[in-house]
Amino acid sequence: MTCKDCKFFYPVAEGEFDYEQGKGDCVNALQDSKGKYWLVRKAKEDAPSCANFKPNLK
Amino acid sequence: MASAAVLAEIKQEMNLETNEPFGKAIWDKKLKEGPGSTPKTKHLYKRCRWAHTAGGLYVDEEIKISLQRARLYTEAHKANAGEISVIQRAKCLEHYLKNCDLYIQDEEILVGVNSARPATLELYPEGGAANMFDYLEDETLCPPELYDEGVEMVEYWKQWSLSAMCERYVDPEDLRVMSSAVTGETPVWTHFYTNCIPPYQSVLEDGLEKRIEWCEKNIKNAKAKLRQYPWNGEENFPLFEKIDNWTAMIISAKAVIGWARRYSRLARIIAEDFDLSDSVSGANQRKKELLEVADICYNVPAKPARGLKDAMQSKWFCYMIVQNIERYSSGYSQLEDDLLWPYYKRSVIDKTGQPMTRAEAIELIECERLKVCERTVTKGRWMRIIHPGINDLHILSIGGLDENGNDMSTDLTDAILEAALNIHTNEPSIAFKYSPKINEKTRRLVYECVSQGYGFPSIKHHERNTKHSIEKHDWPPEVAARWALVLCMAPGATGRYSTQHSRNEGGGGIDGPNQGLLALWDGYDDWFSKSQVGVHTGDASKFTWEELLKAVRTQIENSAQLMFMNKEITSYAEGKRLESPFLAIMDDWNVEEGVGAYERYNKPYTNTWSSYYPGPLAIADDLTAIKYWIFDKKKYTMAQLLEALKANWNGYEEMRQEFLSAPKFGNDDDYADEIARWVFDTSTDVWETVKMLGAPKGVQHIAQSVSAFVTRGPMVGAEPFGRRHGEPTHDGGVSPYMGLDKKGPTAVLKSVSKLPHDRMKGNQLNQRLPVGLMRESEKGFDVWTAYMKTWHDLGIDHVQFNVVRTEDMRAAQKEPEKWDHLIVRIAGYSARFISLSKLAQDSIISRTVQELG
Repeated sequence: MTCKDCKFFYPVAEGEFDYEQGKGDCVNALQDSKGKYWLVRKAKEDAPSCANFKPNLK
Repeated sequence: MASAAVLAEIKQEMNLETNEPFGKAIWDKKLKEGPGSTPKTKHLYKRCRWAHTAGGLYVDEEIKISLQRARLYTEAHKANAGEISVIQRAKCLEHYLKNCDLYIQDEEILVGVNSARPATLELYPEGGAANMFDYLEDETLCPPELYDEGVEMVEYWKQWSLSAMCERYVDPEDLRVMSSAVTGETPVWTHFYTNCIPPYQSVLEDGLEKRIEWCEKNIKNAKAKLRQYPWNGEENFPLFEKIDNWTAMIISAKAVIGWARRYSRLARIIAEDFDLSDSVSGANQRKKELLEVADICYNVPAKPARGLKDAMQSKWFCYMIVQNIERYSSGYSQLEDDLLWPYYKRSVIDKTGQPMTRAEAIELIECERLKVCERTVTKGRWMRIIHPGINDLHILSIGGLDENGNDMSTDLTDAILEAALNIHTNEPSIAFKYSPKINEKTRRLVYECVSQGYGFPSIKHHERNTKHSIEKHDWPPEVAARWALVLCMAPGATGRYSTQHSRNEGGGGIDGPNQGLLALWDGYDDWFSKSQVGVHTGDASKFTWEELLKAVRTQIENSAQLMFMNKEITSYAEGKRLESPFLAIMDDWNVEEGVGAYERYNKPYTNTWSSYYPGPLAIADDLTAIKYWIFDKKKYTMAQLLEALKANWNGYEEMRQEFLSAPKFGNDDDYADEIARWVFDTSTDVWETVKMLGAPKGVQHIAQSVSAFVTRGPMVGAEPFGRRHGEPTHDGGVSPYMGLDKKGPTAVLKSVSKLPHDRMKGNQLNQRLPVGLMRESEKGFDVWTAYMKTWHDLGIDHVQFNVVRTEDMRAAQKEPEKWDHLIVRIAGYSARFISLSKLAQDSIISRTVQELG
């Protein structure tokens, strides 16, 4: 499985400012001692899945 | 008499049903319920990620450095090697904004951050090695895995950094003196601290897309001019550089629009795909909020603001870019109520764009105040040390009169003050442009904030400051009237056109007390640097009074000369190496002329100023004590005094007590006050003699202290007026030495009024007033208003108040965990008392409480 198959992977539409072929957004809800936040990082579609991986069932 | 109707209106707006004095009721309410006017802001206050420092260290131990910005900037700089510098800078910004991590925190309705994660610090390798190593070598801040990569970056930037360029123009001996920190602030390029006033109006009114079109049209016209026959080199040659500048502006502005829209996407994803059931607003409401955030971030800053929500978000995005990402810059320098009033009116009063209630607007302002408190800042240790208890100098301005003398305060002015009363944060500080012509409700709210002990609003004399800018800077009256403080004390032009962009235009300063001491020691500093840092002015043991005054002036001239030279060198270098094309596209003058953000040739509203910090009153009290005991009473000789000072007064206590008992500034005693006048006039003469670029009338002069009156204590030796080495120096710029003003508040005002306020751009006065009168008495407002009338009539530039009980501060020293709500005024800013060093706390406690009424 790769990032592309993950529920938290969001492709960036062509024409968007940050569009880059083969890359998308990885969005996760995170929690630390102060509170919750939602983080977006750039991810490669074909990168191996990480520990946060959840299958995209859409 | 204060109007009961005004007070009743305020109580109603703040949902306060009480017969107690208003100040006490609101204080008790906050202690009972906690700060915040809504569940959202109560929650955000409780989980606020305070990012302030104390003693140069970050108080929150979870704060660590990130190298994301440094890494992305380095990548882009390498990838665009050889490109024109301003375009290279634009491409660095673009690369960062495309690839940086973003986050939105729970309950936020105002989004946009400058760091890879909450509680992380981003670095600026283009500034130079000193700042980078300051952070990399601090094991409490630098995760070990980042160290080697950081060092590699420092190595790469050695040839490209601001520091490297500036050092070329400075004689090594001068560099040693400037770096000693004894004569004044160390060079900007070592601590990488700067300040600016972003011209927000242009973006809020036009939107970036319109400004991009303007740049594109300028490029098109310039290219058409190049093709005109016959060729005219005089006219055409400058167009090449202008085209580069406009091109860089376009790249930057497009990148900022794209970055804002990344937030829009993120907000929508969170709203639609994530569990929001734990939101204090409820899942449905939170989803609605996030979808609205998505809509707002899509709209601004690309397009004009439709209402207050757009305007606040657009301003925040621009602030993040200009003062946190494109460069680091201090300040929160806008005339907030003037800037936002059209949008507030549209949303809250007229309900024609983004309609909202007044209470919702106040909640949004509270959210912004908390977001400022969370801003993570990386500035040199020098600056962190002199800013204890805050993360940065954030000072917004409100109030004032327009060019026709009409009150500019609006319902938004009041909403800003009410939000400050609700949320109880020390940041951002507020400066109020005071005039008795301002309506009573606004003045009452100013008073209520002061009575809560915030130390703000700090109060500047509106008319005096406006007049100064007209006379000394030649600003038109409509520009001069709309000033906002750049940092603690200095007015700067606001609006769309030619605002101040750099500390090298206005900012920085030399040390006050040391100029007098260097004159006593032939320019040698035996207390901190153990080196010759001043010029040789001769053996003071043989001085006559006139020779002593001449030596003081010579030391002032020498230290000032180094400062001004350094400011202009840095200004030149930042234009070559560190351009900020996004800041440039915000400013109508830069776009019109096609010049970079740091261009100062022919700048219309130039704002050249610099300070003494700490202020120079120490020189005055020192000279007064010397004149009194040595030249008038002839009880001691200069040689005896030097011997006692060399011993740090140890073994000379009787003599010290006598020098302490000599006349002191602040007691309406002409003996001391005339010498203080000489010090201020002489200094202002020196400043006015200096002709910095775009300042034909000389550099404007400010006396202030930030917190340097405490933190610089170890750098200032024993003083003739009785102070020992290491003890705090005079606070403020014109505040009498703590505890030595013994004749009451009117005597202080009279002494201060004898100084040349009309010649100066600012003079900081700290006063301490009793809690019983200010917070717990019905007559406080009337008494304070009478005091303010005297202050205003005397034409004094500034005043700010501490309203805090000594016993509360003592209790907070013993049990700090119970007193995190206690705020005090330091100098140009306010801090949470428990975050201050013991020495700083003691210096606040030692300030004289002035009894009014």
